[in-house]
Amino acid sequence: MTRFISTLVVLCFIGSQSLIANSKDKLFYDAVRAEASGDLLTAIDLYEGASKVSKSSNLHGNLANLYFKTEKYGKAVLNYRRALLLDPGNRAFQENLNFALETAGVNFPKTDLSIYLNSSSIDFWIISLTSTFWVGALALAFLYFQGWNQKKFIFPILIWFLLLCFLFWGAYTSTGNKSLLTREVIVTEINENESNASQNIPLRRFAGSGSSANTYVKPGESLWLNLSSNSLLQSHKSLSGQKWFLVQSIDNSKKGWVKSDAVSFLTRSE
Amino acid sequence: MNLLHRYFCFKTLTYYIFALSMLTASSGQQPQVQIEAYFEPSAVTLSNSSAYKIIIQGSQNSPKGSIPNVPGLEISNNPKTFRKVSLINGVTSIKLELSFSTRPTQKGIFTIPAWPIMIDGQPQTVPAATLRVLAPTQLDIENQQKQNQQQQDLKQAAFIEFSMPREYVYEGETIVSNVGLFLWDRMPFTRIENAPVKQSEAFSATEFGQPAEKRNVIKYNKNYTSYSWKIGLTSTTSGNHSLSYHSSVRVRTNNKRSTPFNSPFFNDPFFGFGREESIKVSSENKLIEVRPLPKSGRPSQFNGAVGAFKIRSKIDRDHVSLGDPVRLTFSISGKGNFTSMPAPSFEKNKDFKIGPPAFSFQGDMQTKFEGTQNFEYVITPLTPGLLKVPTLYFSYFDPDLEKYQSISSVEHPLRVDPGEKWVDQGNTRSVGEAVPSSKRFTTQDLFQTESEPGVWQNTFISSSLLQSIAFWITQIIPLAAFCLLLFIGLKKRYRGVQSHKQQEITFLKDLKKYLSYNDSKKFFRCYRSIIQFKVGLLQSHPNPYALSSDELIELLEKANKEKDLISKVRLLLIKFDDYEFAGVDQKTLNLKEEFRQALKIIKKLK
Repeated sequence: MTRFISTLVVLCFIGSQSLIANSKDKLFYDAVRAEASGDLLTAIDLYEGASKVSKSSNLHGNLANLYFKTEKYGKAVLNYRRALLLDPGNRAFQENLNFALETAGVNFPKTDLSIYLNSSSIDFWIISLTSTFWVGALALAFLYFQGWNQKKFIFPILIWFLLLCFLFWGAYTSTGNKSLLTREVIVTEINENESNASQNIPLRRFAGSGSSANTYVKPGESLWLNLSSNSLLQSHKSLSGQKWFLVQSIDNSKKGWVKSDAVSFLTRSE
Repeated sequence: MNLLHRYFCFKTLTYYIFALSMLTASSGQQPQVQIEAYFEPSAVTLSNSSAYKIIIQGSQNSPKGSIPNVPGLEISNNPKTFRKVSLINGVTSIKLELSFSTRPTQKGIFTIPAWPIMIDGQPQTVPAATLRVLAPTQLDIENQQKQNQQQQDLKQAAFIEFSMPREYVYEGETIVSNVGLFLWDRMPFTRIENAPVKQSEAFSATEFGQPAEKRNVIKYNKNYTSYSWKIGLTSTTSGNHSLSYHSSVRVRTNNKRSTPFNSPFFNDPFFGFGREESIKVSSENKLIEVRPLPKSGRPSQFNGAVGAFKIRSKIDRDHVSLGDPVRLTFSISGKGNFTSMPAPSFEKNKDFKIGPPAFSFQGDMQTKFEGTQNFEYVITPLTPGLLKVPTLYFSYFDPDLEKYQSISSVEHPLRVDPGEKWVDQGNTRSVGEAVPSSKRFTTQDLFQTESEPGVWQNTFISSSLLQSIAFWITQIIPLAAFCLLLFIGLKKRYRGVQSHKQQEITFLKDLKKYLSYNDSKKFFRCYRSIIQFKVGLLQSHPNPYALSSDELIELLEKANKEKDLISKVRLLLIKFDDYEFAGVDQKTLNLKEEFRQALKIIKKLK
């Protein structure tokens, strides 16, 4: 009996997995067909549906293209960024992202160093750090027991230590950037029923629609959620059920409360 | 003169002692210093050298001063010195002779004027000396000719030649040049260190690849092996510029040092008894005229192409939908400066979006002088209809005809279908209603849609390696290796410490035994062995029992031991030597007290 139940559970699991796989593939191909027939809004809905089930770089790339075509640059930028997270080396996505940012009029500060210290390079830093640590430790221990003069150790130990410090810094910074990525939100377009001729999103002084704006941000801009003293995201829920986030730009030049539906998490699907 | 000064300092102490004793033995008066200067021989022919001698009598101390420069004479600054102290009829005579090699460079009478010198802190004067330089003799001329011939032979042993098709080139023109390195077969060359290197900034050259080797090339009645490189040489700036090439080859030469095998047979470099030397090989300097390109008649499209060319253009499709890219290949064939030829540019055209071209060259890759340069442009039509692909104009300067030429590509017709228009479902308009111009898409906005989903993933950010169990399991391997190494090392070290302890205990037992026998000789011998053993351990000496008393003290000082302890050990060591070798009376000795002291010292010697 137990055997029968376990087999049934396994079969159900496999079946559900294949159903999910089929559903996401089906949604994707339906979206491609809808796009080919010129029905862009349906295609967007289908891609969005597929993205809730699973993620793929091509899915988000196609979705970003569609948002761009429908002039929703904020969501286009969001999806290009997501596509690049899944396929960091894709030059087409990178070029499209640059073009979308340029069209949206958003500056995206990126230093040359940031490509070596981003979330995808953490593994490189960790492997380098552990390898250097063990190789150094084993070599020094071996030489010590081989009767090396203690004075001879000063220079190799110093180099080893400096190298470890550098690699630790790389790993630490990359990890920090990864955690920063989890707090990053992209400003997306406001609801169509809300009138805002400039399409800019206000960052308010207080978490309420009646509060005056500190500053405005454009769709496509990146903002980071503030952390409270207990390391939780700083948010507020109004009486009407509207959720607000306290956000700031990377250089802290822009700061304020923003409605949760005006921003989308980069690494989280709503 | 600095060298001179240093030279004087290099004399043995005994010599000075001897000289001083001789001085003391003399009357005790301060000797009078006398200086002579002359050339030996006083007359030489132009190709020979003479020695400028300064003889100082009455002092052997280092003189200070500098010889004045005389035009026409080259005086060595590395003198030979000779010192002599003699006793003649009870009178001490001290003499110092300095000899400077002097080589005349011209005929005539040359006088080194009197010049000041400091001897024993007293100013003295070196008298003037004259050298007559005569015209070279027949023998000198023959020797000089022989020397010149040798140099000429050496030049002919290895040299570089390069060819130029014309005496002049035009600015920016590329020519094919053959650079040949000729190595005489009778010279034992081992290898070419590097391909010839161009010595001129006014030309750029293509890379020197693998050379073509040719044997038995006769030149100057000698047999050579030649290595030739074909290169493309492009002039960069106008004017008269010299051009030459240098290379280095390695050759086996006779060993100059005298060896046990110093015989003609053993010194033959062919038998491997010589050594290798690097020789610099150079070409002659050629003056090349680089003419500027004429300014008159220069077409506006001219962008630096020099040579003789033909052009051809083609498109990969002549019927496309709006937004579909078309590849236009523009080929330039012929002979010319393909390395410095920029892509021809289109005139502004509102019907097409034109991307930057891709370059490819087919032909002589070594010189890049002759072949076909292809420029592939991706052009995207922006409007539907029957369009004409824009024409490309290409201008070049023909150095043979000495005038500019302009050619243009043919006009390719291209049919562009409008394709299907997208209508926003949310903003459905009635048929015939105009779409606002701001909402109309241009083909520039089109992106490639992927028809396959690719790899599905569950999260946007892959989990860190630190969260992987496999990573932490892998860390066990180096950790285990480290622990194993630590264990083996410590065990080995502990075993070593144990053996040292056992040795020390044995020594102390022996010491006690000799104390009980009252055998002072053996007691001290054992005591010394313990000290040697302990000091040896302190500095990890491989053979501590071979250490002498001085060496033991030196090691203790190196180990930064207390001065009190070092002095105690020093006294002990002296005592050991006294009792063992000097036969000091042993009756007065209190061995028990010595043993107590020994224990204290051994304890401190940790």
